Amino acid sequence: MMRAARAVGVSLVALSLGGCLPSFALKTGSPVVEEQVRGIVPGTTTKGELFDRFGPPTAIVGRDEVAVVVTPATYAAPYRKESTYAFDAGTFYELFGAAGATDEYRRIYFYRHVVSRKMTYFMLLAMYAHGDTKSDRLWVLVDEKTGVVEDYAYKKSGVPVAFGVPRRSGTR
Amino acid sequence: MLAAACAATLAAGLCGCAVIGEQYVFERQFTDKQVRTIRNGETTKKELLDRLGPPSAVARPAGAGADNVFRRFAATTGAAAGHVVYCYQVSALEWADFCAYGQGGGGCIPSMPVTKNRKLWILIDETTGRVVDRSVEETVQQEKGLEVWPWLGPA
Repeated sequence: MMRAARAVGVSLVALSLGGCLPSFALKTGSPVVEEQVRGIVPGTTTKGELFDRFGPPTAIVGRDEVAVVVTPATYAAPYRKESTYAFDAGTFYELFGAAGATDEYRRIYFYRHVVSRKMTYFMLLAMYAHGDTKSDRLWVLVDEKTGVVEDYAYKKSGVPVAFGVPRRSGTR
Repeated sequence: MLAAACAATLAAGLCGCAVIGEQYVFERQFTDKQVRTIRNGETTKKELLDRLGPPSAVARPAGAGADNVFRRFAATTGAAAGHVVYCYQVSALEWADFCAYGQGGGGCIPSMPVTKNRKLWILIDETTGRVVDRSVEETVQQEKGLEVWPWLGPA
C-alpha cells in the first residue's frame, strides 16, 4: 500500500516536472522526391516532363535576376499563412559554372520544400520552445530554346549537393 | 523528501508563474563543423558548393556594394581581380516571456526579441578555384518593442 502510494506520488511529481509537446509542422512547397530527381536525365528530360513530375516550380529565374516569391505555408489544413522568400538568382548560377553565350536562353527552375517544426519542453517553473527549419531544394538548368534540361543540382537538408552532370574532381 | 517535492510542485502550480524561452532557427546554411573543414589554400570552390549548396549572396570586385564586403579581407589582397566572396548564413529569433497569473488574472511580459545572425564569408580566388580566406561574423539585432500580453482572470 505504502509502495503504491509512493509510486503514484513519484509519477505525479515527474509528470508535473517535465514533458514535451510537438507542434504541427509548418510546410511550404511540395515534397521534392529524391527518386524523381534521380529520374531527371540531362540532355534528355524536357521541361514538360519537369512540370509533370514536380508541378510548377517555386520560381523560374534568369542570371542576375532578383526574385521575391510569395508562397503559402500550411500548418494543418485549412490553416495557411503567406510567407515571402527573396533571393538573388545569380547565387543559383554559381552551381552551374561561369556565364556563357548560351545564358540568353538559360533559366533555372527552382523547387523548394521547407518544413519547420517546433517542440515545447515543460519543466517545473519554465518552458522552452525550440523551432527548426529544414529545406530540400532542387535547381534545374533548362535551355528554353530547346526546352531540354542541361543539368540539375539537388540539395537535401543536411546532405551534400547531388549534380545531374558529374563534376570532375578539379577545383572549379 | 517526496512530500517536499510534491509541495513545491503544488505551490508552483498555485502561484502560477513561469519563464518561457523561445528560439526559432531559420534556414541553416552551415554548421560549425562544416566551417572547421574549410582550409585556406586547399578547399576548392567546387567542394564548397558540393557541401553547402549555393551561397545566399555573391560579391565580385566592382559589383554593387563590393567594397563593403571585400573590406573583411583587406589583409589578404581582398578585392584583387579574379576574387569572389560567398556569403552563407544562419539566423535565429529568440525571446523569453515571464508569465504570472493568479485569481485576479495575469499576463506575460516578453523580453525584447532578438535576431541572431551568423554569416560565413569566404574569399575565393577564381583563377585557382581555391579558398583564400574566411571569416565568421555574429550580429544581434533587436526586433519589435516590448509588449505585454494580459489575459483576464475569472470574473
